[in-house]
Amino acid sequence: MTTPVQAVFWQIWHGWRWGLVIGGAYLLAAAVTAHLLPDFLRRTPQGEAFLPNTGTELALPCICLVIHLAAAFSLTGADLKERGYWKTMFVLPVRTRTLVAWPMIWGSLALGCVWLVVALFVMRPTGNAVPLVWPIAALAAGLTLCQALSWMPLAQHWLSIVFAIPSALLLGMIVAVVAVFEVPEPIATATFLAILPLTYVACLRGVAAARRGDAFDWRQWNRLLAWAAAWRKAAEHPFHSAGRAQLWFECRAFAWLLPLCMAMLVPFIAIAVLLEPGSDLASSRPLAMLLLLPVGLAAMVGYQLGNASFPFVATRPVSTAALVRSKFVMALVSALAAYIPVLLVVPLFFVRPGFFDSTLQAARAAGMPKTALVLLLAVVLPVLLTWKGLAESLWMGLTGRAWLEKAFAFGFATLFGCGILFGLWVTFYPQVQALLWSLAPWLLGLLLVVKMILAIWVLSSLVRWRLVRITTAGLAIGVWSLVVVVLCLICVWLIPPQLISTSIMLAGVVLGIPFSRIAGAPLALAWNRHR
Amino acid sequence: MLANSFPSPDHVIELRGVTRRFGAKRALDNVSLAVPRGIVFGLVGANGAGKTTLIRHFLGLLKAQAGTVRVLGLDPVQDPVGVLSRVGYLSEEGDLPGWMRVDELMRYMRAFYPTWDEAYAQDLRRQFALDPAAKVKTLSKGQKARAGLLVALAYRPELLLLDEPSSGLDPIVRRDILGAIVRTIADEGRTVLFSSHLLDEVERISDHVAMLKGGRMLFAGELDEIKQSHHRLTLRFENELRQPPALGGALSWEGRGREWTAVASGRLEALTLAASAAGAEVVEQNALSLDEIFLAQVGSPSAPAEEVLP
Amino acid sequence: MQIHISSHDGVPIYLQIVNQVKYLVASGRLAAGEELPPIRTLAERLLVNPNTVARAYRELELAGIVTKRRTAGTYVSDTTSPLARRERMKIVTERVDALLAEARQMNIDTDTLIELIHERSEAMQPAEAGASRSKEK
Repeated sequence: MTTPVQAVFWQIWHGWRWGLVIGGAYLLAAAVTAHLLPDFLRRTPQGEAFLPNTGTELALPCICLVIHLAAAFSLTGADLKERGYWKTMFVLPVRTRTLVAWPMIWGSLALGCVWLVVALFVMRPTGNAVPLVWPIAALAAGLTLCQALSWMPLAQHWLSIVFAIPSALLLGMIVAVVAVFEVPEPIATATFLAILPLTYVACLRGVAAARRGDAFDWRQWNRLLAWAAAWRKAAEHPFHSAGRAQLWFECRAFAWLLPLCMAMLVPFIAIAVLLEPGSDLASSRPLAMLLLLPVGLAAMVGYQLGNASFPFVATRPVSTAALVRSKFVMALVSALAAYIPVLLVVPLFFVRPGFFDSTLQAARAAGMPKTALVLLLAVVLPVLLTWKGLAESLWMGLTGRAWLEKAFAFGFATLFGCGILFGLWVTFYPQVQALLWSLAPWLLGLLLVVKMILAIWVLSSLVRWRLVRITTAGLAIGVWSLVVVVLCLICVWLIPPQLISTSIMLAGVVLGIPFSRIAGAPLALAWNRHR
Repeated sequence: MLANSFPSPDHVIELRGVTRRFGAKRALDNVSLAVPRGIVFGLVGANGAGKTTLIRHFLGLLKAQAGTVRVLGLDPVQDPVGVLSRVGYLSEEGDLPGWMRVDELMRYMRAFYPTWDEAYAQDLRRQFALDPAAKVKTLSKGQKARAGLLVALAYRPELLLLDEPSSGLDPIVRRDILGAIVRTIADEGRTVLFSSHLLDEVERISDHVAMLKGGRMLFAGELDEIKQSHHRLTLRFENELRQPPALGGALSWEGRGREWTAVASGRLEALTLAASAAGAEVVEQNALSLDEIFLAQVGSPSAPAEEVLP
Repeated sequence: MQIHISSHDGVPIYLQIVNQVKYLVASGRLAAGEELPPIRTLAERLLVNPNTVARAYRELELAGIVTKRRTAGTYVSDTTSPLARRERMKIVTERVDALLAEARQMNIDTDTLIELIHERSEAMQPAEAGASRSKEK
């Protein structure tokens, strides 16, 4: 370590290297693809019309890279919980302004480079005329804002979120104004650069305070907390059983995560719904999005919910299967709670003129039984899907192996990237589509065989390790089969047969209902508990 | 000595040939151990000697790659419920969840143990001056250790496992912990196993002591036997010696010229005989504290014979 | 009952308790018929293993210094006088041995030493020393 700059770089590289490597690989791949794409598309019928959109899609994942870089330059730890400036650097014989300035400058430069690569080598070759300079200034302003929010030592951590929302909204509005009204480049750049001194002063004050061990403390809040703590007594009666106690533990520790995410997102959706002009059935699309939003989030937070709280919980006299059971029940509680914010917004749809009438009309056309079923599904299915999303991603957290999560994230990113390229290829070559359709039964069959082998392995391991009784394993198979049969019946009844062939649909249902990931959860937890 | 019947009913913990590797490192190497019922068992060893690894095997948190582990006659990996409901455990790091309040922690723990004694728990809480409304994460290190001790004691476990209970704690908390061990063992038939660096603590309250070095068990047995089998001998030689003499059982040497002092293990008569065979007279002989035995056994990794003196 | 445990000099703890109780009895600070603290209480106060205290009490009982009464409790024996004298002599003997060893190292012979002892004794407490000397004779 010869200079503080190198120290900062080493810290950042050490904590975030995997994401940075993946990001770099993505940039290279995107640039190469964008370079080859125009020639390639020119050779296919009406391919050239797709070019600008394809370029934009190629550039979209750079948002992830930008977020990753911003996090790397403003957060201490790789898990997003740790905020604040790198504490180990406070003892370096360096002035505070050096400590503050270098990460700001280098972070802004790094983001600027990303934008330059994306603009010059991805967007412009694909025919998207994008501005070069002001986005860099905007990114720098955004980054330094993140840094200021993260480095400000606050005794109440959540206050940084309170500060973050208005400042992010303000910055977003400026960007929107600049982009929509096509403000001349020098004015736009100057506007964003004018933000930098403000964020610099904020960062400097924050880091200086943190360096001398100060924190901005909101006294009234502490008094409120103390008052609440004095007022709130723990329940007098003991838990009925160990299972209840464990469920309480899991809910208090994890169940709030998904509902909290929903509560933060739902107000924005509510505003979007109110602003949208459509008034008929078309607005059932945002309704469906709203209902399915927890499903999408579930896949993301499921890993967090799987955290087994070991070794504290591991030394409780509870069987591994019982621990997994309380995790699944907690996931259900979490899924139900995630719909409380949604329920608050759903009435908004019905007060919109025309929505109710058009819904009624559609219901008359479909007939009573189908409408009832659709309504029932609209209520039950999102919750069940959310639970499924949580439950099927629990296993990864339950293993307690961080490298497994990284490997999966890496594999998923790779698959996603390949999937986009593959999708492009398929879109432009109709003969490939035909080939794929003819191969589809074989591919699905292969997947079914893999699923079967995995399920047998999981079941036999569960029984061999004596994690569950054979009757429980049988019950799991029974429940899974029942769900599959019911879903198949519903699908056959609801979905018109000309849309998709029945056999493929049934195979899709069988593949879509997870078995090994849920039944294998005790296996994952036992692997974590008895290392 | 291990009993022939395995697991023996007299032993709360029995290990046979337990080996455990982490990557290339052998954390435990063919460790065998028997802990009789109703004693205080002290586990000593340098940092990284494998103490925590060993204790985690007793709880089933680690699985032996070779050998067998029996705690209270059961395999802690096959039957975690049977073992853990009768074992109290206090870890070094204090792994209590920070978001819990002290009263919530007690209420939570109570649900798992049929033998939980609420009156005793409240008694301990008052004795330790723990605020029931305080969150665990706001407690000081000593108070956290006390909270952990409270929930490990309140169900009167048959076996109390303490992993470095007093490392980094102030003398008052250490006193609480030692007092808890003494009280636990005074109750009929209960056993305590604890690991520690603080050898005077171990010497004060242990009946049995085991010493680990680099994953191997150097010795395990009754503290008195161990102390009787280690001696400090001052030898006087006829001629001046430039380097320490070779003496069977000697662990460390210091001295120069004609007078050399050795810390040696073995029977005193045998050592005296060996000394006179080497042409020396024993001029002084003392008993050793556990601290000195530890330093001699663990402290000098290089064998004295290999030492080259100028 | 004031007992101090040290784990640095290598003396087994039960022996430290035995020696100190013997000393307390010999010096009259524990009178005949006085009750010793229960094993558990003493163990908690000294922070030593109760089994160790129990062993020390057993040794003391074997030596006849204390007796266990049927109604729980350990008491200093009534018949301690001959033993107490023996113990007293033992304690003094240890000190004398140390003195002799030191004197020998400094080339002071035993006769000079005895003379010195008389001299010091008279200088310190003439009345008491004279009385005890006549008793010895």
